[in-house]
Amino acid sequence: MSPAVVSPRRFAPGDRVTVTYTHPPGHRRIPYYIRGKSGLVERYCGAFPNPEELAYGFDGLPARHLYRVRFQQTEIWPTYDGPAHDTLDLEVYEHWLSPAEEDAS
Amino acid sequence: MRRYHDMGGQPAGPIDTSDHAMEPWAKTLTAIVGALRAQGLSRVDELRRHIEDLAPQDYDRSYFERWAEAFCDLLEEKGFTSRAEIEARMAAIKAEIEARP
Amino acid sequence: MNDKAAHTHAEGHAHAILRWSDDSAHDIEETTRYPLMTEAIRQILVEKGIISADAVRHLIEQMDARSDVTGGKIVARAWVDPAFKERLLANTKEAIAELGIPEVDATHLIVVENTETVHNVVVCTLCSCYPRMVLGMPPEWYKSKAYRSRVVREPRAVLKAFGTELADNVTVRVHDSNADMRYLVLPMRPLGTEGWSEDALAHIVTRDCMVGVTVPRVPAKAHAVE
Repeated sequence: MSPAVVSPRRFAPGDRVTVTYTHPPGHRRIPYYIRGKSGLVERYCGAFPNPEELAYGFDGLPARHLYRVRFQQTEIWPTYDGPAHDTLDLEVYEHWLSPAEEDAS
Repeated sequence: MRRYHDMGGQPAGPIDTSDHAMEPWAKTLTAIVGALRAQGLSRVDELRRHIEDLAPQDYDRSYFERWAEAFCDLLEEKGFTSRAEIEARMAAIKAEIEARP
Repeated sequence: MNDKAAHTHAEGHAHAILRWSDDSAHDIEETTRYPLMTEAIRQILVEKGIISADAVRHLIEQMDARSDVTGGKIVARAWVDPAFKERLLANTKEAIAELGIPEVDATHLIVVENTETVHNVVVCTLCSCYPRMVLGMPPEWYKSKAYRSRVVREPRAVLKAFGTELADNVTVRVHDSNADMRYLVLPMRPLGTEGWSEDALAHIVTRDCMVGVTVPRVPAKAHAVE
């Protein structure tokens, strides 16, 4: 965990959030398949130096908040062949998240 | 655009579930990468970025072969050595091994 | 212990070829590209004082020492000690420290529990992140394109390929360890293990069931080992 975290957390467990639908170049730790999808914050994981900057020799500070977000598989894959209650969890950095109500068209 | 390494959800064939022992060179390579990291001279994120930036034909190599090629790029980027220096040393080691009785 | 530099002449040039000091176990015989490349890099970086030969040797030993035996001990303890299990799920780092297992690599372990209604399976789709501190080195299939691509998309089919079938009322939960967290699956304790010692229990906890592609099985002629 890193010091120099300047921002308060935007999200809390239970919040519905949407992963930004954008495809910037460079090193990103947010898989293509989850971009634009919405899920629920399952837990707060802590604050870490931003890997997108660490990959290029920067110190990645200030640390960014990291959340574990839970998605319904049927909301990720339109043709998911399994029960509707199957889920997928992954970690998303705060700067990739927005509150689900703010879904832009 | 989806990059090649970002493969979650892509169609793929059957999974080979068999186990293989780690090759000695792969273990040594992992240790060298770890030693550089332990010195604070590289980050895991940098190696990942170099792996992701490999040409597609190199990305099709096996896991540790990708590591090796990406690690050469990383070392060159940091100015620790160069591909030319590595290749020259490889030739010298090969000659030494082949000269053994 | 210092590495000895051996001089050799090839094509009229003198080379200092740095050897592993024990000159045996790590000596390479292969002249294919990647063993040569690895040894070339090792020699160059050690000669330039960028890394030490001892550091490399030590990390190899550390890799050899780490295995899924560690993970098995954690699971077995959780099975016999419900209070430990609760601590493990609530704060994995502190709980595994109780067993003398340090967190390394600045990654953070999360233990996810299989239950009657939830089955967990772990992947890293972007590369091959894996909880090495408790499971050792990952198997080839975990790092394969096929696993990384398919398990997030069709986990039940992938589990079936490993011989694991789950009822529809069980939620399959896939964990893509795409950032700083690492996951260890805590499987359900199988029936028929009542009264077993921790050691005996740890024996049936395989690496594959801590990644989540299988579940622990009681061998046909198992007996409790005291």
